[in-house]
Amino acid sequence: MGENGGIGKTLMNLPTWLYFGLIILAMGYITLYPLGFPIPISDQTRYVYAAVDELQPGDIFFVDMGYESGTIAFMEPGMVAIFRHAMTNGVKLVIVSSAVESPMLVGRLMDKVKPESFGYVYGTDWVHLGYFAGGEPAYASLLGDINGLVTEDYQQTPTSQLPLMAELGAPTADKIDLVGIWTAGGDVVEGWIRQAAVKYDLTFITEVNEMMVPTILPYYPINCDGIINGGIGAAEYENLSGFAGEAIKLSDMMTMGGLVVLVFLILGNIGFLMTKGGKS
Amino acid sequence: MSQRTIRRQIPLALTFIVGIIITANWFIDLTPLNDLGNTITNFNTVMVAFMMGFAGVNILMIHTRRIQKNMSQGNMLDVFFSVLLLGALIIWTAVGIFMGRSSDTYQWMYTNFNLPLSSTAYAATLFYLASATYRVIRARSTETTILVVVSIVVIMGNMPMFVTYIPALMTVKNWLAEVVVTAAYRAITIGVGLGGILMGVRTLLAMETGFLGGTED
Repeated sequence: MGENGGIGKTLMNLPTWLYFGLIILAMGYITLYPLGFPIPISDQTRYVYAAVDELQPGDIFFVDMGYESGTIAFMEPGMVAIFRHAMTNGVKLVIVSSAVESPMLVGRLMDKVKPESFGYVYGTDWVHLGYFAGGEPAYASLLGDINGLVTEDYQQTPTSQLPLMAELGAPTADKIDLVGIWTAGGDVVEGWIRQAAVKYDLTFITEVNEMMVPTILPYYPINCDGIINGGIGAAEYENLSGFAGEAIKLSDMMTMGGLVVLVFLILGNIGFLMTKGGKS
Repeated sequence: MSQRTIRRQIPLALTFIVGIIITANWFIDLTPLNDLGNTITNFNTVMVAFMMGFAGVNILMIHTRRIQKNMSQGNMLDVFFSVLLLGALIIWTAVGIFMGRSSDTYQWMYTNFNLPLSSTAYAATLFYLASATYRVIRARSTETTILVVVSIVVIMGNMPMFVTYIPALMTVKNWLAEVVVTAAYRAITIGVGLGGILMGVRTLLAMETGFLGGTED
């Protein structure tokens, strides 16, 4: 094997500590010294913005907070920006959870959203109903007759004491103006699309992590009106809505992480091609 | 009433009746039918919640047996993990039942144990993804060369730094996602949908009985 083969082999077999170390260094550096790259906004994010922006005061935004703590870094910033945007318009929020852990994340989410700063009162302007087991049949129940399924909220307050719940009759879907699903699982979104967008023709938006977006695209933009594409989409939404938050800060970090992966992908392939050349 | 009636015919009849009601509820807007459909789906939610409780009991039984077995074989590390799992299960259940799921203690336990552990595990996948990308995605053939090129375009298209200075990257990435990938996924989705309809009809007509368990006598 010639000289090219030697270099090629080296490029193909760079030590693990090198690229793990470089990822840590690159992301650490950009955290301390952010570069503030501009954030171009995709159509998918613009459609989500338009769906939230069109809501009128008193409209009901039904939310499934279906993510767990592992994906919190990119789910929560998008949710904070969209909630704050919705609250600026005086939209009422009904929050349920299709993931077991999610109800315990609502507290820290609302600490960041600060509903009281928009004059929101719990029970009247927003409610948190906790976790529901059962997957797609449970989504059907919630949209069919929410008061038939839910008797108390997450804090175990009877729903009869929550004025917002009295506004939601049967079929509940008729009272809902927008459905938003936050989840790391594409099958959850598909279930909600079938029950909310197909059956009741409700306006539907979602945020999923980047790798799950292709599973939602078959429904976009006919059944799914807009998609927030993970952390990048959340940064786009923050930029668009003017509610700058954690996603914009994270976007530089995501760029640097991606850059290191890209460089090593290219180096590995250059090495592979050089080795092949050496053999031939 | 014969065993066959109890074990096969009654469940199959119930499946048929419930399936017809739920299917009709989807297509027909009739208040009594819709109310009945909602009641059945509510019942499903309650059943699933019960099954989760049952799963907890199952974990307790399996790991109790595993602890006994591993103790006798001297696998103390496995014993440790099972004890840790059961300890966490029992503590979480006890705090949830006696102090309430929305209590400060329950929230404190979640925030200080689950949240950092789960976030760390997820964040660590970045390193595995980076490692896999570097070692596996190689231009070995025409197909894999296309994969390498598409990977590079998609990674660059997801990075604001590149998209800002090369706007065409976003156009290409969106075209790949919304035309090429969507076409493939739609084909898969339609195929799965047709399969689902077929399976549903076969279940309603008692031609699929696997969910009953066992085999016909």
